[in-house]
Amino acid sequence: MITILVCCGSGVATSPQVANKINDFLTDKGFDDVAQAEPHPVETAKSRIDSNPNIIVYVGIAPADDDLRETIKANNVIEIVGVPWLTGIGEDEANAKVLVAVKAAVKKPAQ
Amino acid sequence: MYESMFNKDLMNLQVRAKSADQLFDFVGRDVQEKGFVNEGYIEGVKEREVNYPTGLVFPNIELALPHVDPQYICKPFIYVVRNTQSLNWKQMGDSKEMKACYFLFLGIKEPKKQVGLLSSIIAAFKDEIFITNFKKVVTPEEMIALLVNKFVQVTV
Repeated sequence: MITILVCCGSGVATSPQVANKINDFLTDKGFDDVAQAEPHPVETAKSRIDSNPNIIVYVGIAPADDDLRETIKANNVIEIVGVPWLTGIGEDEANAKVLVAVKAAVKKPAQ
Repeated sequence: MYESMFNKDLMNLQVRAKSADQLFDFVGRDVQEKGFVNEGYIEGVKEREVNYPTGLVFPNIELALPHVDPQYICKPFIYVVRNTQSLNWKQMGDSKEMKACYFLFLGIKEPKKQVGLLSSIIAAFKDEIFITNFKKVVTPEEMIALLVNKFVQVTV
């Protein structure tokens, strides 16, 4: 399963909102059987990205520190700011970025 | 179920805080005295706001949703504040500067149960008519009526 990692400070408040919205979008576009968004606390982001090659997008509601940013780069993960899914400002553009990333990952052989 | 999270005693539409720190002290002491949070709450919520800012700029309103890990919360609550002056705040996600005079302090005890309410709150602040009414409200009674009406409607 292609995974979109969504992280906020605690993984309990805003990241589930954003993950739900992304999952609704994926369902709308018919990609819900190949890709899903998962909410988690930002402290776990680095180890999740390092250990799970299916993570192709990192949606951050908490700012990424230098360490996390390096991990994101090293694993060729695409970083997207998560706030548009909360405020609605720029939501279409943010969804479009997710769709591009998911479509690109679908074309690659399964890992 | 959500109705009980709004409480006339948990709102203050005339707070005169001059800084974020003063606002956290004021609200923190109030919810602590009323038994909604434990002793670590004030420091916890301040620290969390520094590390993970909660300000959001919606098309028609700027507000912040300060919240903290469930360990500091005794009973779930939503504390509504209008500050008499705009305070300097930071935006969620990119920490950009913003100003806000509206605050919803979220006391989240059981994240799974309260996720629905959070999404209704966020949806409400994209609703122009709701925001117009929200900004017009003068008394806590009117605010309760507005919020309960809005959120019970969408969640039932």
